[in-house]
Amino acid sequence: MGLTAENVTYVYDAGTAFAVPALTDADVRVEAGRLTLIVGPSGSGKSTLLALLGGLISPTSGRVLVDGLETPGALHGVVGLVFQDPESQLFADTVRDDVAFGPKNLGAPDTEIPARVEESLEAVGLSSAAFGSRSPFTLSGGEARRVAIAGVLAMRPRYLLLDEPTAGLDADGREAVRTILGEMKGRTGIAVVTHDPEEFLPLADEVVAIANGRVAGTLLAEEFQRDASLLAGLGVGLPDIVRAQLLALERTSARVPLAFDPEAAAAALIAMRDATR
Amino acid sequence: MRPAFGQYVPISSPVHSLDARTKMLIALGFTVALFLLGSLAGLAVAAVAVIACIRVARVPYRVALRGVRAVALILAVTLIAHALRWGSAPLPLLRIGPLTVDGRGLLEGVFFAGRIVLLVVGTSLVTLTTTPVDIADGLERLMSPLKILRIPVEDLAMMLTIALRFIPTTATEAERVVLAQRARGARFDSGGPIRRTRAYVPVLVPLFVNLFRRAEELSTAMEARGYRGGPGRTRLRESRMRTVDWVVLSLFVAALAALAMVL
Amino acid sequence: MAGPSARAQAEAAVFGVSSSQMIEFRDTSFSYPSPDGSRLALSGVSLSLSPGETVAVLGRNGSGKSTLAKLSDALLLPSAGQVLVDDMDTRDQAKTWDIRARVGIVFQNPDNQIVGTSVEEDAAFGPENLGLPREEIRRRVDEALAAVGLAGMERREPHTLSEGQKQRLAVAGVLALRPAYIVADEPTALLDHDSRAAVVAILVEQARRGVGVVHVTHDPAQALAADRVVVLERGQLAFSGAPEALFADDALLTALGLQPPPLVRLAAALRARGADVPVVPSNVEGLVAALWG
Repeated sequence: MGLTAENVTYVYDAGTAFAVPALTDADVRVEAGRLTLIVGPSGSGKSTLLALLGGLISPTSGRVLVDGLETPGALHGVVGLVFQDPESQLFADTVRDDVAFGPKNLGAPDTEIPARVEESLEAVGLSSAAFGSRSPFTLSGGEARRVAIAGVLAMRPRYLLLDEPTAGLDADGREAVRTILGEMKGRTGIAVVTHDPEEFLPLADEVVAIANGRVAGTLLAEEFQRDASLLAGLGVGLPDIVRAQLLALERTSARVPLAFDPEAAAAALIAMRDATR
Repeated sequence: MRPAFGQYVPISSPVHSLDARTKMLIALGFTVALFLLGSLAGLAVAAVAVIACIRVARVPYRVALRGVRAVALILAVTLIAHALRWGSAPLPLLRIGPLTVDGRGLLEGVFFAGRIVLLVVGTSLVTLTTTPVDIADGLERLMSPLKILRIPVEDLAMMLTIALRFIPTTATEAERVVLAQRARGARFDSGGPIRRTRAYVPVLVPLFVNLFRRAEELSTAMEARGYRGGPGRTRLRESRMRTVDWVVLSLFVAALAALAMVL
Repeated sequence: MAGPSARAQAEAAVFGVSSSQMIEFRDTSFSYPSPDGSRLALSGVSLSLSPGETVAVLGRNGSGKSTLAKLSDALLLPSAGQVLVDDMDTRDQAKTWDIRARVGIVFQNPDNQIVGTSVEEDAAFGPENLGLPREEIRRRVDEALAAVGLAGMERREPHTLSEGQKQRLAVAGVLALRPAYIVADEPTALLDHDSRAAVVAILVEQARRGVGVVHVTHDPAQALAADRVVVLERGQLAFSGAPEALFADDALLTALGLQPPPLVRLAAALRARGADVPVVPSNVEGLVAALWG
């Protein structure tokens, strides 16, 4: 089970003079109940990986499996893809119509669609009564983004892939997105592509680092002494809290599991300092 | 990224170094000449000229002829419309049921189709060998006499520059919107023509909305950098007609005149 | 703290130059017309920025930050109060273009600021608008592109640039005006980590060279490096002072819907465990060094 990319390689314009390898020999797994962060500098191949996992493009080599089957997940609504800047894809007259677009295309029975729309709007924290009949173009940035996400949730995907879901939002907007993801995590396997891991670390179970089109390492949130320095060498934007611990590690021989949140990190730092005294 | 049809090929050649105005005037002259000539012989001469230009421009044939694919449908329709006749024909070559392939009609079709090909390839040589900056610049300078007629030449040139600047950006945006809607189950390849056209509404609406938003933000940014319309602006780039430009133009005019007398 | 503005004023007093070199908002208000009456975006804000100073402007969406930015460049005119740039009133139409040469604005969306068909053409846009002679335009373009690290990419077409490079080009376009003040309206919101750092570094360098910088941002971490922080809430000035004062005040932060930067929270957690580290550390290295004593 799970949404897996097995040794996938993707080459743009393969076979022509303009061939450009975007991703090489990547292995990634997204599982229900877990949130996987995919981090890396821009141009590293993260978005290509997402498109592959969603089945919108086929790998040049290797395969993508959705619960053991080689089917294009996104086209069947099993895998939901939320692209960057998703509110720029809103088009319908009303919020309800836009959210209904996905389920309608997938052939959901007409009687079921209104319920799905209500359900999805609720899941993103938007009141159907207040927002349902409004034009998507009158919404604020954060509201529009949530409508776009609702449009994907309405397809009831088993896996949810998001590309920079908080880019361009203010603190309230980002908090809203994190809340949505936290709530979806139980039923859905989630993968978030971000170049700012700081935001999602508290929610993450696993971090996959991508650089230059290759998977450079996979960290589990619980244990990663060795792997953390791997992240450091990637030029990925490391959160200040992690950087502080990495710097402290240079001053001590003590080995304490690294933490993502301030409280645990403070404890770790104090422990490392005391070990040198 | 694979270059689009007609996109600038960044190499150096005698054609690349010509002033944009020279190339545009020749393209204009070439177009007019194409429509004035009436014989296959003339077309052949034009074809030789275009091939010669492609060689001198050092542009790969594959790239130069890419435009032909874009008009393939028009070419096919032209050929068929001229070549096929219902019932009998002056010079029958082949019968296909009630239709006859007419020899003379076929030649006519080849002529008209050939003219379209030469038009497309010939004029694309301008965009293949001239950067968008220089095209917009050249057009502005060519049009500047029109200022006497109170035509806002500089503003029109600015519009052209902005349009050229945003063509690739908008193309990428369109691709992304299509991808996003496909991820929501939209199909763009099924159903009759009406259905297919309607399928593009979820792509066109966001593109247009973005267009207006972009226009507002861009114009604000332009005003913030002091833009207040065309007149009074100086330019970074200088383009001067050099001797070689005048020589090429003169030779071209001479060739046209000679051919006009002969053909 | 005795900053650049105090020194500038002292120099001015000695040399007799106009001492009002600053952007000044005097009790400024602005309303947007809207279908149901008008919406008050900014209400009675008073604020000033001197050359060489960096002011960070924080606030939620809709707090008036972008309105403030546009008012500084006469892109919007105040409904009440005044906005003065080096003693020039933005309402004075005769001075609009001088003001726009003095104040450069960088916006959030890189693509929607780039108008030229090549990197150098876009950087030249501002100087071209000023009607400068060709050699001067060339000089300024080269200078601006070098300052943002895009030297050598003059002939590139904008759509071939990364988001970070495009935003740096937008900054170059502003630098080519040689402005006395730069107002950056959330310039890094759409950029990745490395590009963000690059843009911030450019702003810091400009401030070092004596340009007054206003950095509108919703990322409190970026406010740490500023001389002063201003917080807007519903169009009003809710705080104005040093970053240390703001981030040390938990109650105020909560009231304003702001989160302290992670580094500040880490410092607070360390202090709670008895460590003697600054309340508002300026960077990671400083914090770790302080911890080890």
